Amino acid sequence: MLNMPSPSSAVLARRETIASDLRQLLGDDELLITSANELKGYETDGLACYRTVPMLVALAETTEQVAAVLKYCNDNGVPVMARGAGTSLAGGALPQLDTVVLGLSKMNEILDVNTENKTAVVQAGVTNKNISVAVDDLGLFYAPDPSSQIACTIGGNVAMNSGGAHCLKYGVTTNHILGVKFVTMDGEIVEIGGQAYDLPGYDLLGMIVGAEGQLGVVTEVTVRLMDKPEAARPLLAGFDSALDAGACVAAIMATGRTPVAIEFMDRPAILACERFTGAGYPVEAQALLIIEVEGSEAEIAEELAFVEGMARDHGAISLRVAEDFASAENIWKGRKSAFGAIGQISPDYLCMDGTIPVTKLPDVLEQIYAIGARFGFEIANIFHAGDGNMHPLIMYDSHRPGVLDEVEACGAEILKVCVDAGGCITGEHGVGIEKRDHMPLMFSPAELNQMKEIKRQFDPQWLLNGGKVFPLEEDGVPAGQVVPGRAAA
Amino acid sequence: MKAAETGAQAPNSLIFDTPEALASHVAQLDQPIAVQGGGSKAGIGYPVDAAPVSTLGLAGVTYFEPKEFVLGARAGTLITDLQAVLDEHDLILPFEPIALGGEPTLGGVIATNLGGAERESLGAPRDNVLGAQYINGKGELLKAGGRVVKNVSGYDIPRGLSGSWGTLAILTEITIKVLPKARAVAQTGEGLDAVMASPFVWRLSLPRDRAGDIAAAWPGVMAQQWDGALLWLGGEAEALQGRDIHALAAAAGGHALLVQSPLEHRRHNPCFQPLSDGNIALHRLLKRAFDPGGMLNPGRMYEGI
Ligand SMILES: Cc1cc2nc3c(=O)[nH]c(=O)nc-3n(C[C@H](O)[C@H](O)[C@H](O)COP(=O)(O)OP(=O)(O)OC[C@H]3O[C@@H](n4cnc5c(N)ncnc54)[C@H](O)[C@@H]3O)c2cc1C
Ligand SMILES: Cc1cc2nc3c(=O)[nH]c(=O)nc-3n(C[C@H](O)[C@H](O)[C@H](O)COP(=O)(O)OP(=O)(O)OC[C@H]3O[C@@H](n4cnc5c(N)ncnc54)[C@H](O)[C@@H]3O)c2cc1C
Repeated sequence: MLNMPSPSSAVLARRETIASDLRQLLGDDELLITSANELKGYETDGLACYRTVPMLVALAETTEQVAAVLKYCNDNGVPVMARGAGTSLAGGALPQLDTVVLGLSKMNEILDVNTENKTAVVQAGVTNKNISVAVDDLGLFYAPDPSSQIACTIGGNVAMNSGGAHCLKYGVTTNHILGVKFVTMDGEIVEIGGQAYDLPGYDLLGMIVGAEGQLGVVTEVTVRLMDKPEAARPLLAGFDSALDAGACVAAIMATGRTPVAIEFMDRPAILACERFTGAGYPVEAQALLIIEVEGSEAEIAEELAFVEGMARDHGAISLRVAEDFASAENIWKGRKSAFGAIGQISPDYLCMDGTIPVTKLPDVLEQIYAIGARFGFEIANIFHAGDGNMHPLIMYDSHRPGVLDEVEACGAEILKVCVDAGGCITGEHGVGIEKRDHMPLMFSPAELNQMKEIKRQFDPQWLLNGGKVFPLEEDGVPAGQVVPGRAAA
Repeated sequence: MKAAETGAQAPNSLIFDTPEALASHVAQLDQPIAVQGGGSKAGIGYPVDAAPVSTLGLAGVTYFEPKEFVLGARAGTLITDLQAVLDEHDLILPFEPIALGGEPTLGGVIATNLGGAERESLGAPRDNVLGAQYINGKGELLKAGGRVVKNVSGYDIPRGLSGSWGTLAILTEITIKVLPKARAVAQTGEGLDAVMASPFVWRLSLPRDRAGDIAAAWPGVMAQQWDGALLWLGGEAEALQGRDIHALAAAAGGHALLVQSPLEHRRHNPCFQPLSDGNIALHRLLKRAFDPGGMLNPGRMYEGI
């Protein structure tokens, strides 16, 4: 159970005043949520084992409203946190009792699409998928594709520097953002970047993307669009052992002929997904790879022959290429609903996100299974294998008292294995609260302090999305002001 | 520590053999220093009147895993040396060799982050950086990022330092993604040599839909890259009469860098694109976070930065 900063009683005591001030700033009573019932909708995110009902929720419709709310919170010492769709798996969107949640889901307009520059300007609350949908008939798409893309917002993607299956070829969020409208804690609205490549001066986008919403709030994003490939085709390869599948991934990647995506599922995941979506996964296999290639028909044929050969060489027991568009869609639907499918077979799960060098995949998988067995948890692995970004899902039942502590201890051991293998504690989900206390596995106190110094400069009072990313006692929160987090009821 | 013997270095520049030695030098500074790599881009930015410190002593590959396509090297390693190492494994750098004079270093390429001919398909240098070791203005030797492509553990400092021209930190080691040679790499823009022969050279990154008008109106020599979105404009002082290229670029939604100009001109005129007040304020926050004492390359990019 993670600790959280204890809420400020002074702020809580001013709740009514703060509510009426914010109502006035927003200029529309409907935009401020105060009822206990409605506030409950904002108590958690994709890390549902932690829940705290926030003090208030302000829904912004304009950048000016965002600026007004931030400035107010800054002037009055009120903790505040932006929220997109609340799909963070790291507790990034978990509020505290004294937090004003700044909801951005109403800012969901696509403002401009420029086919010559191949860019789109969208508001922060636009969902990832809707960008690609909006430009589909122009032959373009937005490349980073988190599995949560139907729900998650581009603002959340920017905050977390999100990845996805096709990032193996195309790169992650930070490689596709050309500009943002950025609102600082003191309410300044700053345009950064735009329709041209790269920034004059410092790489502020590099600094803001992946800063987990702790430096400021993004209200508009200029994204780079890519040409849709002529065609794309996934191949399903079933293996007798997870280790064979892991070795196959490492071998494919070592050739430098990078497919667009290589996704991995082990037996518990295959069974759950097949039951949930009927995507036609090989239920007899111990592990499954979804390998997607793209290009012209000739290129696809050549690349498919290559990956099929590699799969066979590594002992694939079944190979199936998607025959048509519908079956390709179905294969991906199975993968993208994988976490939901696990939710059907286990009451709760904790999703880890460590990345390792691909050559270490078989070895690390073996260690993960051993750790799970030692703790007595079943672990399902579903992940972006080509770039070594693992997602072991530790399955558990939260009704058993004390189980969360055991799950977290199990997860911590897995992350340590990833770091020891030359990897990192989070590849795409972010640190949030979940991996906050594991940051010292990767960074010395001085290194963490350099990051915190950036935070301090942007937000000296540490009001914006505090309690995350850095271990608490180092976060300027005195040890005496820390309380246990609130677990799911 | 010893005085540099290498050609491009100022004769009195200090050289260090280890990052630790350089860090302890920085920790003891009471006067600012000028950070130098290969010195190939010494002609960009306001001249920094400070004791030069060279990274050329920090050279050599520190980590190389060809099967992972990952390479780490000290920041002072010459690009040509890296190319030789990679060549043996049929690998190439994710940025193109620079033909324009001098011997650039890996640290210099990342610190300037000027994307080459294939920026559109390969990304800018910063897009290929996985991790870095660096010395901040207080002389602390720190690392950030790592050796894997997918990594969001903490703020993205390696990218934050890219393009900071040595004004935030001294990069001492950099880990990058490298590429299989099979990937064809285009050559530098046609006509660039002619442009570089001019006393004044501007590099403009522009929205593609606005670049054509600027190119058409330019009276001097010109080269284009990035399918038209990057312009190189060369000219005499007269060609510039009355033209504010920074304003021209900004009005089109892009930005310009004066990459070549006489020293006397650079003393009094900005090379880097002037920024809005709000944007410059964010620059100052970063400068304070990394180099609160203003020890590293002060004023090279902007006033106090
Ligand atoms: C089933 C499932 C699958 C997933 N698959 C993937 C995957 O494949 N790859 C991946 O990378 N992630 C994945 N995720 C995680 C999650 O979807 C991403 O982290 C996503 O980017 C979060 O977006 P959101 O809009 O839901 O943000 P939220 O959860 O609302 O917020 C996340 C963080 O971003 C901050 N934030 C949000 N909007 C803004 C803004 N406009 N300005 C500043 N800060 C802001 C918040 O303060 C918070 O700290 C998955 C999640 C689920 C539930
Ligand atoms: C006309 C032109 C064309 C170019 N074309 C390309 C190209 O095609 N591809 C490409 O990749 N690049 C290209 N570049 C980028 C250019 O080559 C880099 O600027 C160069 O690599 C600088 O290296 P250097 O070691 O000579 O740096 P220097 O000239 O020594 O220094 C440049 C700046 O970087 C700082 N710096 C140097 N080393 C460090 C360090 N270790 N830590 C912190 N700061 C440091 C210095 O303080 C200085 O501000 C081009 C540049 C120009 C002007």
